[in-house]
Amino acid sequence: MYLLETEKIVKTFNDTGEKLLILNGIDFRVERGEMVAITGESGSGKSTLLHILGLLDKPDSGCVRFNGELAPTEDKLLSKFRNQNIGFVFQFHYLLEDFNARENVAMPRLIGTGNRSESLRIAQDLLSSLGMQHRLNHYPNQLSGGEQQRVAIARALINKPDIVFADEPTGNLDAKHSNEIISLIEELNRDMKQTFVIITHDKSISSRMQKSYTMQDGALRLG
Amino acid sequence: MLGVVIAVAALLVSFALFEGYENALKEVILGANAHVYIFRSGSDDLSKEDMRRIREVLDSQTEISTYAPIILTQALAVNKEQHAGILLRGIEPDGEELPTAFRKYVQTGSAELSNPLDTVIGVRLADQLGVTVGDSIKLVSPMRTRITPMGIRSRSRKFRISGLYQSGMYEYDSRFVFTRLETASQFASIGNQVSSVEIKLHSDEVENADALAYEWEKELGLGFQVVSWIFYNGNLFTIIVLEKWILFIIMSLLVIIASFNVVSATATSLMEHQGEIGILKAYGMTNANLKLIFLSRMIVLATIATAVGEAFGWIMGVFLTRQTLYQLKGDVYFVDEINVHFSWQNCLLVFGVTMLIVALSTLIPLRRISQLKVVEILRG
Repeated sequence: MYLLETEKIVKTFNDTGEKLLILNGIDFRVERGEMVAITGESGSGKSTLLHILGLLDKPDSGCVRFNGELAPTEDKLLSKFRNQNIGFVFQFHYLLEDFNARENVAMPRLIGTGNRSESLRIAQDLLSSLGMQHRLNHYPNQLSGGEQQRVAIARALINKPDIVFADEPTGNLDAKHSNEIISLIEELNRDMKQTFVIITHDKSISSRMQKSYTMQDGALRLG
Repeated sequence: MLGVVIAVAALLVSFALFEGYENALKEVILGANAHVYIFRSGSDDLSKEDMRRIREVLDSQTEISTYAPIILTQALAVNKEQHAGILLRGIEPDGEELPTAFRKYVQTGSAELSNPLDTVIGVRLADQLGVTVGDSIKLVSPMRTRITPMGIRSRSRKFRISGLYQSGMYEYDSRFVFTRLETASQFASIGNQVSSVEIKLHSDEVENADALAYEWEKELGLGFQVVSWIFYNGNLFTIIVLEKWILFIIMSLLVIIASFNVVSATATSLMEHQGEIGILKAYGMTNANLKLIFLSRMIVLATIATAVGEAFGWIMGVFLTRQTLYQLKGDVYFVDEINVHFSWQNCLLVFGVTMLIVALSTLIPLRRISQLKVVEILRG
């Protein structure tokens, strides 16, 4: 059974009255513990696909299955499902400016459980395991780009999700920090068997993944 | 939030001014007058027999603190070239407790009326006549004018001023002249009769005066008229209370205007935190919880603003009572001092109304949270 499976995902957008076909019947599968890259040109529909896979958007037709079951459609159930099963890392870290690193990481667990002290303790452990123990109480504007993205990765992992979707996680970083982040993702995949689906422009990154797909003309092609 | 601070201060101080005025007026009216009066129906005075019947009924009433007869007659007060129309009140000043706060209001001289021709006159009347304690005035009774072969003769008598009466109520201070009951009786030539009986109620019965008056009138039977302070002043206090609430509503509009800033501040905050809203939604936070976060933030700010506004209003109120630049016109407003009355109930009311308005003003822009789509936010 696949961890993530899609069937004939179709998505169109209306652009000044003209219907643009972005995703044309995508069938996509990810096994537990895999690290998958999706590459493609700008505007090819990579992010749209990631949003649908991450249940942030709905397809016009087709379906998304997690562990063989259809993803929920009702808003409240969907929010809960995302909270417990899916992690996100975006190009922009989207850390909450008024909260420190530990509180930012704790946020998804706090949303899910409402237990503040437990959430903060787990966040602290997680940040420490990612080498951020010296930055626990720093606010996002006191962290470097690489550190901000490490905090975002820790936030994505706090609820021990089945899968983490990363949309250009190194898009805003220089080569050194970019390499550090990808190495961290590889480490997490190797040590914790964490499943990642990563959207990237960078061929050097996609080549480090176990599988790599290319998005072209609304279709996914392996390799 | 500065707008809310100012609006709350204005709302609280205006409410406190009205309530202060209402209380001051009530205190003077209830202090200078009795709570219930018993008259003979028509224009007759109360006879000895009437008094016996009244005592029979009143002595068994537990609501009564004290009661006493009074003679009321109009006269003219004259001092040299000065003269003024007055109301002569013949009272029994020797009782342990009087039906009115007569003693309290005699602040200059003595309230004893120990000599039969002693009199206490209103402080404004004294000013008008140019007299003070120790001086004499002549009271002329136009009611007892006789036509004689020598012409029209009025009954007049000279009185010595033993004290000045200052209630703060302009009308009373410029019209009232007090003397002993028997002196007034002789002056008005009414023999053993009295004008009415003044009744003071226990403080917890004051607001029931109307019902008690109705009950006693029935008990006394035909020929008696029992009237409460509410009958005399009810309309005045109804108008004051009505004006107070109208002003409260008008002043609440200031808070509504101030809350427009809350609407724009919340809308701006939503714009600024769109990315954060997006990520929190992505991580499963519900729209209701997101709204609660923004709402609680605004409620905390509004609580601080309201507390500061109430403190500012209180300072303004204290300043108004202590300043001497402006005083009320006693002949227009009955009392000539500005009074303010702050109560925790009013502070709570202002707080509640402000919080409600701010909460509603915050919820209007917060409706947008439900319409914000995570994908659109993340796409920027």
